[in-house]
Amino acid sequence: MGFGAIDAASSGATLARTWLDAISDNVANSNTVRPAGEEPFRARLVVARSLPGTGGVGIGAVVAKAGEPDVVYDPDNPLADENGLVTRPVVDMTEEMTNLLVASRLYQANLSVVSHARDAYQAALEIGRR
Amino acid sequence: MSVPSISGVGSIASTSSAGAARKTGESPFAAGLEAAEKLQDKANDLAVQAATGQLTDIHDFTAAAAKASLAVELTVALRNRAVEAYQEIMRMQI
Repeated sequence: MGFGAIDAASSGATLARTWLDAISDNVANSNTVRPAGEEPFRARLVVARSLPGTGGVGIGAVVAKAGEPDVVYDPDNPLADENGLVTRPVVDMTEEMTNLLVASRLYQANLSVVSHARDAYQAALEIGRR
Repeated sequence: MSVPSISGVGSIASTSSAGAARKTGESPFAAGLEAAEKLQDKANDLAVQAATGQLTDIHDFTAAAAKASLAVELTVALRNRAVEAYQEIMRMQI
């Protein structure tokens, strides 16, 4: 018994939930400085991959955001090296907040598809019912 | 004079509700029940996982519960149609 619409929307909701997890991790670490010269905290990006047929979507990869980190002068920071430099994390707050809106809407949209598909299938069972 | 022993009465052949010829042993009703049972089992497993807190995707459980209830409703509708068709045929005047 194939309920393809519900399966595909469920996979989309799983992807949206993973994306939300990654975004919340990035936002929580948006001020995690590290000593200068060390690898900074890089934002996590979720790469989606479409599955064949009507299989929905899967998680292709989780990559770290590329880019050169900012090295700022902050001598009062306990993590500062002898020059007073610390490495800022590679997290763009604007981008993360925008992605947060998109991810939460994606989650809600997929759940709405599940709900409507269930109503549609149930309406089919009403045919000929006396 | 020998009296032959009473033999058992043969079983009555069941009426095929759909009327079409089918392979013996295969019926759409049984297939529907099997599929519905599989979906129910999956929904129960996910329910236990959700209750113990192991399930990370809560929508998996609610979607599986929706699919299981749909499958059961479909099987019930199949049964109702079959019974109706059988009763319709039995009502025919000979």
